[in-house]
Amino acid sequence: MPAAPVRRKVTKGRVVRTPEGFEVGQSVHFVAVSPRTWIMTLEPVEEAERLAAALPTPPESPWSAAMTRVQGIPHAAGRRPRKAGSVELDSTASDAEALAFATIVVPKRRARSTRAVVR
Amino acid sequence: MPWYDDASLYYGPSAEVLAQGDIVVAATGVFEGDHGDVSPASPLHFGEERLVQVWLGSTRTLPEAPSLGLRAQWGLAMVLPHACALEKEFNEHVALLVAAGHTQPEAEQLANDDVSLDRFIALAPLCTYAELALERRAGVQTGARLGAFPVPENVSGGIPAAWVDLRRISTTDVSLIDVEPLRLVSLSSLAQAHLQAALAKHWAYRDLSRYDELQHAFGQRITAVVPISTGKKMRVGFTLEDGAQLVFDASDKPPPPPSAPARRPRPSRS
Repeated sequence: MPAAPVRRKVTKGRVVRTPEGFEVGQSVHFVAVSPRTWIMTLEPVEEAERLAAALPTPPESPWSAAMTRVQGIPHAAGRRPRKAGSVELDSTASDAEALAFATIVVPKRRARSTRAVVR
Repeated sequence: MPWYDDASLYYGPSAEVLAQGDIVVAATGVFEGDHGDVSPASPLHFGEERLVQVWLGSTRTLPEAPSLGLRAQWGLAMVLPHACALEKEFNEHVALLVAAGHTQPEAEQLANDDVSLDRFIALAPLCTYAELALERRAGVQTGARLGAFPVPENVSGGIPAAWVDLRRISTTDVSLIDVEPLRLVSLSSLAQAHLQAALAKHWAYRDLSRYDELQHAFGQRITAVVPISTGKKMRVGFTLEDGAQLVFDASDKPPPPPSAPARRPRPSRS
């Protein structure tokens, strides 16, 4: 039994700059090939989808399990309700407090005349 | 097994609201120079990146802004602010409303309806180890490398072994991420403490191991550090776990405070 064709995302767009073979204002379709690669085509959407289905399957993403987990969830809108807690008070740092922080929790490195070595 | 290698130590139960270290689905981004184009479509996969033109300059002189691009990434990101910072304006507003005569539930409802409260949240993207030079992986995986924070694999959350890039922190409107399904996992208290240490080390370039060394020298845990103001001379008081009080005076000639290291000049824009 032949494998089911891969359904790739095809998106409509419009040419605003002119790579070879395209003119400004032309209506195009973008076919997602991989997370960082798209094909821009002047073909109609049906042909773009056929072209997309014929492309080899992209390598599996390290994030595929996470993507599967959230598949189909509607995009976020708004915030979850919160319940009030204690108010965090603003606070100043005196010279002594700032120096104590900078002294007790010491700098990673002293100032140098050139950039520090790579750690 | 240490915290950075043991998912049972690293991950913990989620709080009712967003908390420091939560891993969420979000967009993060970095502004770049004169690059990019109009993005044809939204990303379809996690880890996908777009370099889009934000605006185009025309004069190449001030006060006009230069051309600007945004390298935007869609995927997983870690919440960086402490939970208290994420609720500060909300709590203040509720307190004001209650003081003005509203009941607590009314005040919470009104504050929840105000989308301007605690609107901004800092996030840093999760990256795969494939994006990292081989010689740097061990330092990142063990939490030793400045500017990075390790994320061990979480099978139930669908998260591979990854790391958080603290150099690519960006600000996002919290309403884009504050929905439960978009939070995949949360950190344990121990991992949150390591995240706070990593943030302090990266942003203030502090070496927190000195604090451990002090406790080791004292032979017990320090429970309080109090700077004592005595005019020009610095004096610091330590309280130890057994209640002992130690006071240290700075020498008469303290070393100068650290200044910013000199930076290599960057090439000017033509």
